[in-house]
Amino acid sequence: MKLLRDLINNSFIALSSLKTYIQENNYQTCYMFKKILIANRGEIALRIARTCREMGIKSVAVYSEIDRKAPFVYFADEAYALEGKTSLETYLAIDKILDICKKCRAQAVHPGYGFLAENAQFARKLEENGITFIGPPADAIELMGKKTAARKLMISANIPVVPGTESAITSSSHARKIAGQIGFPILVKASAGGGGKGMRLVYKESDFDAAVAAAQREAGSAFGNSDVYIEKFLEEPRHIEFQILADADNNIIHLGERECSIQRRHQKIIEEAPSCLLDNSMRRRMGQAAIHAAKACNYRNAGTIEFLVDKHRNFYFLEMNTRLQVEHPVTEMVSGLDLVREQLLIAAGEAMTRQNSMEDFWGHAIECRIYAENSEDNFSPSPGLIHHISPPGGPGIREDSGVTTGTEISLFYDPMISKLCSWAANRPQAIKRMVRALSEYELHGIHSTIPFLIKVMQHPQFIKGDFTTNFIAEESNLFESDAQKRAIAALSAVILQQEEKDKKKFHITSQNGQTTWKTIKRRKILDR
Amino acid sequence: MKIFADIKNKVIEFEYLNHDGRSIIKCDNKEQHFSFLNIGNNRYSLIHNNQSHLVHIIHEGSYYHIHIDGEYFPIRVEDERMRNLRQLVQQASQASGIQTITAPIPGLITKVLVREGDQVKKGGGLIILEAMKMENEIKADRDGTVEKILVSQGAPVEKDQALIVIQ
Repeated sequence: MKLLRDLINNSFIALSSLKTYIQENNYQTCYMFKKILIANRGEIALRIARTCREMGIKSVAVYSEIDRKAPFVYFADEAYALEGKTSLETYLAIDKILDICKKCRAQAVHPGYGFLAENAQFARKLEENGITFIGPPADAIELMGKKTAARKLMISANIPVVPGTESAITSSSHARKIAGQIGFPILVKASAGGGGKGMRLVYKESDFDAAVAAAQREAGSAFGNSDVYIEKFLEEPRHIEFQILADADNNIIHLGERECSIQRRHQKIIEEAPSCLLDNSMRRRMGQAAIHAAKACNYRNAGTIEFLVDKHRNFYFLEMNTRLQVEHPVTEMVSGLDLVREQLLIAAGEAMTRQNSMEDFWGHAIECRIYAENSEDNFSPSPGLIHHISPPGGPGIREDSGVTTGTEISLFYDPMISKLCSWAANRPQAIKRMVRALSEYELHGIHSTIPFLIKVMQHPQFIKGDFTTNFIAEESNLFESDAQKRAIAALSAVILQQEEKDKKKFHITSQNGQTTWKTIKRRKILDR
Repeated sequence: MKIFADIKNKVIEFEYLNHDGRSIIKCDNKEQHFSFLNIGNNRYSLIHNNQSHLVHIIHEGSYYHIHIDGEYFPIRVEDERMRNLRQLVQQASQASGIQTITAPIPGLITKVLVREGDQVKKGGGLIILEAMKMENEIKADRDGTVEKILVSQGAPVEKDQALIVIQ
C-alpha cells in the first residue's frame, strides 16, 4: 500500500516537473527571442541587459567612442562600435544600428528611453527587415509623438486635455494672440518633445517671441524637429502618470500611478509610487482614462499616460510616452513586476504576467535621479571624471547606474549618473530610508544633486506630501550648502595641506639620493 | 602662520602653530582636536570632536576638491603671503580695463550673439553654450565693447577657455 502511494506521489512529481520543463523549454525555443540588440547607452542599456541575462536571452550592445569603457558594454554578451561621438553619429544613426542588427542576427531591438525610443521611422525600418521593435506599433508612436495630434485624438475619446493651440505654431503673431486668449503664464512646448527639452515657461507677452525662438532651436537640436505649440500653464499642478501594459490580444491593464511633481526645468528628479494625492476612486477614474487613451491609439507594449492634476483635483491628459520611462523602477518595486520582462513577453506575443489592473500596492517606493549637476549654481552641468563611486546598499535600496570609478561624464549626453530607489512599508519610512542611502552614497570628482536631494527629502512640505510642480522653483533655500559641512571640509583641506608640507620637507632632501634616516640624523646633529 | 580656506568666495581663517614639534591648528582661536587618517583611494577618516566623517580629497594645484556626505566643495588653501600676492595680481588685471569672459562649463558654442566692436550692457547675452543638451546663455557682467571674439559657432570649448574679450 505504502509502495503504491509513493509510486503515485513520485510519478505525480515527475509529471509536473516534466510539464514545467516543457513549458519553460517551449517558451525559450519557440517564442521568446534568443538575441536582442539594445539601441541605447548608460544605465538603461545595462538595466535591459540584466533582464535579458535573467531570461537567458543574449544581449548586444552598441557604443560610441566615448562609451567604450562603460559598464553596459562589458556586461552585454556582444558589443559593436558605432563610430563617432555625437548622438547623431551614434545612438541616433538608424542605418548603422540596422546594419549591426543584420550582422549579429538580432531578432529584436529594445530602444530604451530617449534616442530612437520614440522614432516611428526606426520602428518601421526594423519591421521591414523582419526585426521586432520592442515597443508600440510605429503608427501609435507617430500619432502620440505629435503632441498636437495626440491632443485631438484625446478630445475625440472624451479625455480632458489642457487648453492650448491645436497645432504647431506657424505665425508668431497668431500664436501670441492665442496665448493672450488662454492667459499667461503659458508653456511653449516642442511637438516632438519630451524630457523638458525644447520647453519654455512664459510669464508675460514681451518674453513670448524670444521663448518661442529658444524652444524651437533647442527642439531642433534635440529632436531634429523644431515645431512647437503652446499650452496653458495650470496653477498648483501636480504631475501624475499611469503605467499601462497592452498585449498583442488587445488586453490593456494599468499598474497604478507615479507621482512625478518634483521637477526642475520641467524635468522630473524625484518620483514615487503610489501618489499620496489619489484616493481609490480617483485612481480608478484616472486608470480608466489611461486605458481608454491607450485603446484610442491602438497601443501595444508598455506605455505611460501623463496627467496634470490641478488644485481642484481635476485631471487633464498631458501626453503619452510610448516607451519605458526612466522612473519605471518605482512601479516595479510596488508591483513586483519586471517591466522589461513584460515588454519582452508582449513583443514575443506571449501572455503578460498579470491580466488585471492593479489598485493595491506593496508598500511605497521613491526614486531620486542623481545628476552630474551643481544645484548651488542653477543646476549647471558638471561633467568630469568620477574619481570614486560607491553606491549605498542595505535594506530596501535599489540602484541603477551606468557609471563606475574612472567613468568620464561627457558633455555629449544626458547628465544623469544614477537612479537611486528606496522601498519601505509606507511613505515616511521610504523617505527616511532614502535620506540614509543618499548620505551613504560616495560619489567623488564631480558635482552631483545628492546634497540637494537630501534637503528635499527632509523638507516639511515634501514629507507632508503637500507640493506642486513649482516646489523647487519656490524653495530657494534648498540650494545652499550646509555651513557645518563647509567648516569640516575647510578643516580637512587645511590638515591635508599641512601634512603634505611636512612630507615635502623630507622629500626634497631625499630626492638627492639620501635616505630619510640620514636627513633626520643630520638634523639632529645640527640641532645639537 | 595664518591659513585661508576659500570656498566659493566664503573664507574661513585658520591658524597653524608648531609647539615643540607638535602641530596645532586653530580656528576662531580654538585649538581643533581631531584624528585624520588616510584610508586609501583618496579617502580620509576625520574624527573631529568625536564626530566621525568620511572625506574624499583630491589635491589639484592650489585647490583641494573635497566631498563630504554627498556635498562637493572646491577649496583654495593659501597662507598669508600667497594670498596677498594673488590679490595684487588680480587688482592689476582689473585696473587695465580688459576682461576676458571664459566658459563656466565645457560645451559646444551653438550661437555667438555679438560681433567685434559691439557695445554690450551688463547682463546682455554674449554666447549660447550648449552642454548636455541644455542651452546656457553667457552674459556680460559689466558694460563695455566687444574687443575680440575667440571662438566660432559649432566649436567645442573646455572649462575656463577664453571666449570673448571685453574692453
